[in-house]
Amino acid sequence: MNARQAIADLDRELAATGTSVTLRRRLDTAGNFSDVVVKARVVFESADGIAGSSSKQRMGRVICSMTQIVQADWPGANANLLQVQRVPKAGDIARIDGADYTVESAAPVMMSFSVVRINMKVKG
Amino acid sequence: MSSPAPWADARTRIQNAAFGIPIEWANEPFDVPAGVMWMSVDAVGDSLLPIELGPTGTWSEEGSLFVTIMAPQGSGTYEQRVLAKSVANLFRGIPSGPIIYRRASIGIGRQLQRDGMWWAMTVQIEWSYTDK
Repeated sequence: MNARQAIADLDRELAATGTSVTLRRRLDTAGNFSDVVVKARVVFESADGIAGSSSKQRMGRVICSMTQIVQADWPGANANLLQVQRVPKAGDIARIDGADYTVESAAPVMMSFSVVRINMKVKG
Repeated sequence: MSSPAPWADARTRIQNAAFGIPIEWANEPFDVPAGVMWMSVDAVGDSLLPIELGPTGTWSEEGSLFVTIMAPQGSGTYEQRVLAKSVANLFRGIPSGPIIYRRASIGIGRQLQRDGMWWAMTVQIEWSYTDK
């Protein structure tokens, strides 16, 4: 399997069974964001307390591909960005079913210099 | 946990201040709001010890009130600091009584970190309570 096939397989799977997730990169503290909607597999698996509170936040895993990110030129118009530089990063927001979650980590899976998959952990 | 009197006193003062944001009181139902500031309040007694001898002697309790102010991640800290200072000011200049508020800390000497969707800033107010 080459990278192109791996991406196509993942996109087909996500198109069939995935959830629409909006990835949001905060541009300032005034509430301006750069958004892109991706198809993703979302699994919530545990909860973790909020420091200083007895309330908890959900934690989950989000899997997506680079396809919609590259198509939208996310997070901003810059033709010089490498694919791996477009991968979401800690502090970005994943809006899932109307609720916001913070990206705690985003790990790109590489194959032949292409990002074929992004594994993210979210909390919120 | 603290004994009930310091908790009730602090709670009344915070409620009367009407900060206008949702407040989570320890072990009470609370729904975390989305995208707005809120605060979580708890009180802890560090020590209860006799300062007079005998079965009816006075006891002194030392403890802290913790008010943690949550701001949505990425929204900056200025408004949070303003509110934290207002909380600290709430316990300034109160006439001496059974409960004395001694000093406060904004942040308890720690740098803050994002925690999921929140950025938490804790105000600690130290108190002593004389239980006659």
